[in-house]
Amino acid sequence: MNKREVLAIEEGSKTCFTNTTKKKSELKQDPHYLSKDIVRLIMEKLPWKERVQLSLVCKSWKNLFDEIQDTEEFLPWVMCFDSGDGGATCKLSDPSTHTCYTLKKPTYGTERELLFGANICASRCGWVLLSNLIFVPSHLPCYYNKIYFLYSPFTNKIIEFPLLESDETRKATFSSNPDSPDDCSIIALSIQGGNLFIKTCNLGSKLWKTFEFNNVTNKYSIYDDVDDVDVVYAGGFFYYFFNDGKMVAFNIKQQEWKLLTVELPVTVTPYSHTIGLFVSFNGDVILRSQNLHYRWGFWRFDLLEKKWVDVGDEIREKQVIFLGSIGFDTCPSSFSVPALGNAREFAGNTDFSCCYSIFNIMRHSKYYKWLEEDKRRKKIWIRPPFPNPLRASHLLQSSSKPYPIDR
Amino acid sequence: MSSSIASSSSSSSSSSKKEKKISLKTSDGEVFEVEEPVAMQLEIVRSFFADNEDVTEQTVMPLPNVSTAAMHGILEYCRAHEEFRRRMPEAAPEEEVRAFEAGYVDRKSNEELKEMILAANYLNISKLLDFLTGVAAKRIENKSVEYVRAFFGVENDFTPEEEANLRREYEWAFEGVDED
Repeated sequence: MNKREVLAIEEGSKTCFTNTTKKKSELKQDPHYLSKDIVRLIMEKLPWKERVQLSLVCKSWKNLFDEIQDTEEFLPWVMCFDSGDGGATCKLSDPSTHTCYTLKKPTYGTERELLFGANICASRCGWVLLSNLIFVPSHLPCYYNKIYFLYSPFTNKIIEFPLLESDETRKATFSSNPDSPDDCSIIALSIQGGNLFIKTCNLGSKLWKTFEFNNVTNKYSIYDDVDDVDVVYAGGFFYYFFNDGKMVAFNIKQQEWKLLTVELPVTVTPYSHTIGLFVSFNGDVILRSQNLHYRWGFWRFDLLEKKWVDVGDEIREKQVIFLGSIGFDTCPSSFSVPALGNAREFAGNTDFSCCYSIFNIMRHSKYYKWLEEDKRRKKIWIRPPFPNPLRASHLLQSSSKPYPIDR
Repeated sequence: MSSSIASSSSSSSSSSKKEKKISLKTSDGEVFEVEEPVAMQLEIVRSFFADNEDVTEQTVMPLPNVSTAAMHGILEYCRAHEEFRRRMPEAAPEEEVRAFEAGYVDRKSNEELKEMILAANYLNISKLLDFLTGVAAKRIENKSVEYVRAFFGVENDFTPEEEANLRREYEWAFEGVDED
């Protein structure tokens, strides 16, 4: 600090002096007297729910709230879901502030409890896709219809899709936030006798469309394996992947499907690797594989070249993946988040690679350890609906080619 | 360059020599004679003395953004922490620190707390600022938006429609708020 600056302090003294102490009543009127840094320090110490409240204080606090979420909070939340005897209870867990919220029952029609006994199918943009069976009483023998519906635990809203009769679909996902202006569609799949059935429906439409593809099941899968592989949405397409390399890409806008034959990466064999799909936070479709030594590999699907490109190093460096897993009581959707903010800190604190299953995490991470209390509940990764996680992509370079490309 | 290096070197010499004092002048003109290791916890003071070679012991450093009342509170905190550090240089006695801090804030009104946050921010005492903002966070926890606005004296610049929309969107976050 030089002398001029010292003088500046002296001069500044008069104005600051009146501001901070002499006229306390005036101080109260000045919305800027609390600097952004101070408000940030306060906000960071409070759980998310409290921060939502603070974001309503004034516009600059709202901006700050968004900023913290955008630049610091990258860890996904967990929705725990219990449809046991006591009825459906739903909890949201925020890893950043170690807070758990129990949600009241959704404001929904009285005739049936949709969430009770529901299966979790997928999660994105703060919404969860669930399915449930609805008993048809007049029908003999015992007969059920299936209903798919979206549930937002953050806003407590439910959106139903039309009923499906005598339905076998077991795997489903959806394309976008139903609150956003983009059309939200869902896709559900089943494999019966080697044939793949795809059912899709747009939000607001009254009917499902069914597509049937014959003899798609490969020689490795003796059983109907629709449960074993992920169905994902990226850039206007749904992708479903068979572990011999075949892929089904469904163009939502044109309601067209394509069967792509894509060679698996040479180092990956369906015998020795666990394989799955997920979408990275910047929109790439990524094939993940884990060999018998628990080593992960990652390949990006190149739509132009129709091949898998090795992006293992890049993913390990820049992304943290929260794995969905398959089976009872587990979370079906994987989440990729940039290795930034608290996700970077999280990854730095753990010994494994960049991929985390919910069970590893419960045991090994301080952020999620307390979830063990809810061991028996079904869980799924979920992100608070704002801010848009893709906003964070400006922080990381995207390697993706522009979507959609239809050939 | 950190303040702890500066203060530890000066405190080791202070036991042998006469304790060096630093003069700090608050906004309302009062001059505080502060023991050097305590004053050096104030980052603004530390950098002032580190960056100006021609300042002497007689230099009175003006602190135009700090009132006398806030200064008393700040020195009480910094002196206590200097005392802890002197007694146990390796690790602070956590229990005692917590007991001190709890008693310390209990005596502070909301107005005093806010004034001290501003002062701690200006003086750049990160530890104290972190502590005080934590206290403020506790005091507004579970309170209504209106309460928080009044607490910090912040004016609402949302239109009623904007506010209603935001509230509707995250309705559940507004349940179970304490009565003010």
